[in-house]
Amino acid sequence: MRTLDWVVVAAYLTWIVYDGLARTKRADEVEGYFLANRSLPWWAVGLSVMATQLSAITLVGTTGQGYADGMRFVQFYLGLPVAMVILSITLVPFFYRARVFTAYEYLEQRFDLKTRTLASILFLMSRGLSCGVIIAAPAVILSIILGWNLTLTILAIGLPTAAYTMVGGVQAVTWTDVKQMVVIIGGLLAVVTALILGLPEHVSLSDALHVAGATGRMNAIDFHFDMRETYTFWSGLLGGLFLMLSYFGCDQSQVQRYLTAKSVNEGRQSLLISAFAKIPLQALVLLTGVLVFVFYLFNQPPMLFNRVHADKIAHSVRAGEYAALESEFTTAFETRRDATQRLAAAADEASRTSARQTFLEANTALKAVRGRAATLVQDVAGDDNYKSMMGDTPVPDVNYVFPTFITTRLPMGLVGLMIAAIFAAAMSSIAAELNSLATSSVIDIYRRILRPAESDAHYLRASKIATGAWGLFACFVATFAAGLGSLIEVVNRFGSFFYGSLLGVFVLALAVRRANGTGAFVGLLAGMAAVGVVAFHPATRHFSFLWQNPIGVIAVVIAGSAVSLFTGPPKPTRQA
Amino acid sequence: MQPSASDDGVNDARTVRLYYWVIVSEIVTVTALWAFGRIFS
Repeated sequence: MRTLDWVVVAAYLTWIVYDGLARTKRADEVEGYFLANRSLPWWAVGLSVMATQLSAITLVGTTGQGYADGMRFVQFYLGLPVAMVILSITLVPFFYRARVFTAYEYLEQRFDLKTRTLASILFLMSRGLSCGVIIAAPAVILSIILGWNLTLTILAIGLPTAAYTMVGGVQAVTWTDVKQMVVIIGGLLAVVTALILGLPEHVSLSDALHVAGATGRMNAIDFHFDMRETYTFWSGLLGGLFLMLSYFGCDQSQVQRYLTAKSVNEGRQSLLISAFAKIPLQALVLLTGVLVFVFYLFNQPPMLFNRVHADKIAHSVRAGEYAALESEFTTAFETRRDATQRLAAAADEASRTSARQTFLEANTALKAVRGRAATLVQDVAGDDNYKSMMGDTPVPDVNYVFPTFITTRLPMGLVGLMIAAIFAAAMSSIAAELNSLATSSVIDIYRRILRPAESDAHYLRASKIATGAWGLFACFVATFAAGLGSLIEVVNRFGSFFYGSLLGVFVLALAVRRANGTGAFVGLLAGMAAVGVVAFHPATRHFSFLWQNPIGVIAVVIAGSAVSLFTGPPKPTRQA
Repeated sequence: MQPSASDDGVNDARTVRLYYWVIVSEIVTVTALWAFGRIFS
């Protein structure tokens, strides 16, 4: 990073923190602090919904996936538009009319306190830990790529976010999210422009995409049905539908975004922004990764993008072996570059077929050298994740592709803008999570169970303290999560256990009139147990995690309905 | 009785039109992405 890049990053941080701290209008009462007195316009809420979902690891990881594996990851989001329509018709009006602060508050109105409390505690555990992971993941990457101190990077991301979220509440979160989305999309468009302008003189964008297509990277849609595959049309549309219903309908970090809208219709329209824009945005992020792949066809990439292991091997007894591999990699790259140029220049079908064959052989040879380097890392560093490859890239390297490209290949100023965009993606997700964690802690636990008869000013103070405390907790978790890859996996797995089952409770609430509190409570536990069995049973453990969500929903509805049948009628529902 | 999604008439005409457009735009987007893959494969 050069001086101008530092200036851009510092200017971004100052602007966002100043703007967030200034957004305290009507944040002097609990409803203003958590829901902006339900006064925000649909477009701002819609951008906030998108910013919350787009974390730094999504931005960095998805471009890496585009590089290594192409466009097919876009199918993960195919269920999202349908989910948004279903939620707009079903859950959103219920939440609005119930005048709730949290999604789980509705569960008490419909069922009972124990179901609400269990759902809220599951959310707090899952999101509290994942907030730490959301800080840790980009902090690890930025600290390695830029040589920054890891703890300071965690604090640089976490503390400013906690500060403006604590002071300004949901208004600070929403309006900074709007600006952060502008930074992220502006940065991505600038990188795509730089990549297109950076193509060799004789290579057009169409030629470049044809070359990428020869490796299968342009195949975005795969219609074959296989429950073990995550990235197919059917897994995305059906499995993804349940995940998105659960995330946008039952996760407080999202529900709270659209509860701030002026009216039920504005709340719906804020969700429909994502329904229209999410797939094209993800396609843009993936295409950026594909264009980075094309860039590295003409310019030599590092053999391994994560330099930490490379440096470790360079100082080990197998340093000579690694150096020989690097030299072999350079030769393989030069062969592939020549083959790429011939393929891009091929004028007729016959020469294209032959050039394509040569290119694919050269690409396979380069992948083989990388695979041997990955095995060497596995042997020396003991990192078993290097066993798996995504396309031609070892899996642990995927998240390092885009930051490496940004910091080594982009012009001065644009490097700073993209680092700011990674900060923006991290901060927007963290702010929404801290805000929702504080809301659920204060509204569902503190005000409802521990101190039910205090003044609004007391709860406002408690809300600010809770936001700050969750911020510190997230930074604390991040410092541990940074060194423990397996912890990240555990947190993600825990989230997938909980998501489908929570959606199941809401489906039970809306669709099964006979369902009662005991049925919902037992159903929620049964749903999580069913997902656990599917996730670990030898016959089903290879199913994509996307299918855990519909399985959780079905288990909750069946178990909840059955238990309700034997435990009496439901309590009369309070009309909102 | 529980409230139903439509008993207060909150799905205004603009929102209902948007629902249809969401589905149409998804079909168009998926078709375009599929065609994109075919063209550049």
